[in-house]
Amino acid sequence: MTMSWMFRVPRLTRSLRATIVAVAVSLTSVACGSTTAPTEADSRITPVTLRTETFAGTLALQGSGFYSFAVNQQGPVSLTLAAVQNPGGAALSTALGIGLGIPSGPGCARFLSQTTTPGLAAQATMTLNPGTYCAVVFDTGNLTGAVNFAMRIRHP
Amino acid sequence: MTRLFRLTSLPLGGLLAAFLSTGCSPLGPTSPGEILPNASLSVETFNSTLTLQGEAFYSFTVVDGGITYLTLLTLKEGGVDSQAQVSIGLGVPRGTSCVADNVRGVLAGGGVQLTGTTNRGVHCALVFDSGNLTQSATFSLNIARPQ
Repeated sequence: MTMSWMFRVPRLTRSLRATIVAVAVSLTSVACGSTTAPTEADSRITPVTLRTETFAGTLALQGSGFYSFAVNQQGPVSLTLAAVQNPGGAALSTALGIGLGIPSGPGCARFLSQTTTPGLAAQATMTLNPGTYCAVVFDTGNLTGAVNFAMRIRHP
Repeated sequence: MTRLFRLTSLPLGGLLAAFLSTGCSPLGPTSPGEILPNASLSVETFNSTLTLQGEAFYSFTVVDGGITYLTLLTLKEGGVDSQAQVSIGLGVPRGTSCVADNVRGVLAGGGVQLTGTTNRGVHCALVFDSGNLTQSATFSLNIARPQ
């Protein structure tokens, strides 16, 4: 009786050992799988969350104005001069200057600028790194008086 | 060793004392005639006009983080030195303004009036009238900042 029991113990132990080894191998393989470096395809998936800010105001004759914003991750920044109106509220198709830059001194130091008429689609787009930037609107000489404007700034 | 240390440390201490006493502190100017930038600071002067209840700000880029020092050098209402208290602050440009989290009321003149840590990035110095001006004022704000 005692001998039988004594022989069973090693057999059970071997069985347990085998089970433990199998479980360990399984866990190790799962763990190794989960720590595998991302594939090239995975690394290209970089979700960029975009937000929209509206810069609206009055642009004086020969004047300019700017709006500062923070880019939190690298991605596309787009500007849309959505509307230009006279002080009475009538829509105008007058071309204005728009641009991107970095706030500097009392203004915005532009590194991108162009002249555009108001529209629904983005008129200027540029990929920017994280940082603080400014969107600028300015009179290129087409104004005969002050106008109201609205610009959409879409950025990461 | 102790003696050697004393011999070498004395001249260094003297040089340091001489350096500090000649006005080469990092605190920047304390009056319009004392613009004393040192190697690690850039000094800019923001001259502008403050309207009643208005504000004005000046943006600057810091590459190496450090302490920025602001001093309101002059404030003139109608061309005359004003004793009105206005507010100055340090912040970041956002929207059409400067969002400042470090603000204090000051009078023009004297030494450094506001200090703040400015990390790498774009920052702004803000001046605004909190209700003490009686008319538009011109001002001169000294900004001593890390490069």
